[in-house]
Amino acid sequence: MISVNINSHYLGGNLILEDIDLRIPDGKVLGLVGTNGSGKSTLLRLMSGVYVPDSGSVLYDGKEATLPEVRENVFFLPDDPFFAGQTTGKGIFETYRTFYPGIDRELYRRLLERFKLDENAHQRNFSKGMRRQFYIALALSARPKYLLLDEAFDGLDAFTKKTVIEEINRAVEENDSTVVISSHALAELETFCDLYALIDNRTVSSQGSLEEHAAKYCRFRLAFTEAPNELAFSNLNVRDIEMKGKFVTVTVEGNAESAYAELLKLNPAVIEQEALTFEDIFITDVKGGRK
Amino acid sequence: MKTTLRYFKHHAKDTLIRAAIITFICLVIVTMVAQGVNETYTRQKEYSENWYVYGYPEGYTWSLNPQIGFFVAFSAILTTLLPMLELSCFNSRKYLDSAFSFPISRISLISVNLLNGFLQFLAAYTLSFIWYTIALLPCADKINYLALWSFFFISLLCSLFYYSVNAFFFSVCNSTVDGFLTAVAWQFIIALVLFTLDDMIGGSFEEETILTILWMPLVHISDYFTTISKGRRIAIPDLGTDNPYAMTIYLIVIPILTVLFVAGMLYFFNKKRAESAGEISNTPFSYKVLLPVCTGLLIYWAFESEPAILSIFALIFSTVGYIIYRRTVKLKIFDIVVISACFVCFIMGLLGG
Repeated sequence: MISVNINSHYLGGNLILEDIDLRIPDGKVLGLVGTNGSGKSTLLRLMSGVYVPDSGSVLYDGKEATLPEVRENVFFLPDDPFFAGQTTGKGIFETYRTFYPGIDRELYRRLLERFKLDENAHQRNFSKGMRRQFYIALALSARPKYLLLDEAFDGLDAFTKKTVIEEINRAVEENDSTVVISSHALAELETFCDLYALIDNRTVSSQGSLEEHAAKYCRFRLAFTEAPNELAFSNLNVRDIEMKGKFVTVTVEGNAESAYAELLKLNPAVIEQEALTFEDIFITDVKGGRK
Repeated sequence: MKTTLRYFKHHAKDTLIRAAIITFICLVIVTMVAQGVNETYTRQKEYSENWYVYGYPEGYTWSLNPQIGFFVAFSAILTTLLPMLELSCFNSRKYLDSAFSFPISRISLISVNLLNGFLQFLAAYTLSFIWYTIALLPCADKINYLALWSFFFISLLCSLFYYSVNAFFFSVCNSTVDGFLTAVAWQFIIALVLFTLDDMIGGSFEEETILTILWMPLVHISDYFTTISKGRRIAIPDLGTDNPYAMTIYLIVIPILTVLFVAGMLYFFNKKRAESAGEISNTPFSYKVLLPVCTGLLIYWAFESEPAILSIFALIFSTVGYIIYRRTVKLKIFDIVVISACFVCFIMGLLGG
């Protein structure tokens, strides 16, 4: 279990994160989402022990993240990992093997083969996406109990994203790994994350099960014979509303059936419920937080 | 511990080529110097069998005083550059993202790099020295090997100290450029302060005494003033020592200071914020103190020697430098205290002088 309890953390004198309270059970995949500059990478660095919280703690099974023996079970893949231009994949593998002696060479080779990467090629000759694939292969080969991935899908094409998701799922299944993954690729996160945490306004503004969270909201498309007044919707717990003349799209927090019944009272010509994606929920959450 | 050992092996292997290049360069220089010494010896021998060198009496063993100056230069350059090469990676935020997340303590991480750098120096220095003694075999009868090897051990002690000083000042900074400037500046700043103090109180110190107290490598790049060069005299009573404190300095003060600098470096590194890597070096050991002190010194010496216009230039130059460094014109209380203290000191010195 990862327990993150950060009261405050500053970067260059600016408060970046505050009142973070996050618990991630073992064997779960948590998607860390938030707008640009919201502090996702900072939170992952704090979780990996790279940064030490100004006030608060990050615990893995009750032990501080800064302890080397704790970090034996943690693998952090930053958004832009360091490599020397002349270094080959083989060289980087050897460096990581120094710190993670149990790294699975067979798995590493299999993944490189799957990603069609040459471990003897210089890293500087790799594209951004190829480097990302290489490091993901490295991270998964280490078979860590806790895997922290920052911007995991950055630079990857749709096909490779699918492959990476498959491999992460396999790692979770085989090693009972706990994965924390930050990404802007919400559609991908939706397909395999059990949990989510939204960072907004320097804190975790909402967290929990993705399914449960999705059930909190419902969205309807309505068409009226005459353009309605926004006040007509004030009986509903509206989180987001888009009005274009006679057409309205409204996102409501609460039970879909009661919302539907309430909307029918407005006598719409057409009413239909629309499925919400993770991206819709994310936008609704962020908009709601900023109102 | 196992991880530390594995990292040490890996890192040593990674930097093997660099170590080999440094050693090779040192060996080439040593070979050239030894060849020069042998030629001098052969030429002198043609004139007289009872020749003597540099004022030593007839029949006295050759001290090799000027011929070992280049070892001091090796020490000065390598003990300044090697800590920077070994520790500069810790000024990269990208590098720290990986390094600080690895299952190894920060102290072990920096200790391995530090030890590896010193071992590279040790290898180059020792092999060069051994090769030098071998290359001088044609004039072995005129060489005082006791003096030569006592110089070697004293110089190693001093080099370890230089290394720890440079590593300390380099590691407390947040960027490689800051670290380099800070480490080099500290090699001169204490000498300048002492010379200034000496001037203020009317020239009571001897120049050599000041430099002997300082030990800083680049100051001693000239063999004439080198502390290392003086240090070997401890082991050879016949040569005597011109500094009554030499024994205390070399065998007690230097080792104690070395330990303090290493301990200080480990302490600060353990507290280092990875977030600050590559940013302004906000430590009191860097520009925060160095710039006001240097400005004060410049103004003092400009007033002492030539027209006041130089002082004004110095003041403008330093003020601009300070603003660029701070990226602001606002001064914090610490800066105001340091700047005021420096100026009060130097104005009092000027009035006293």
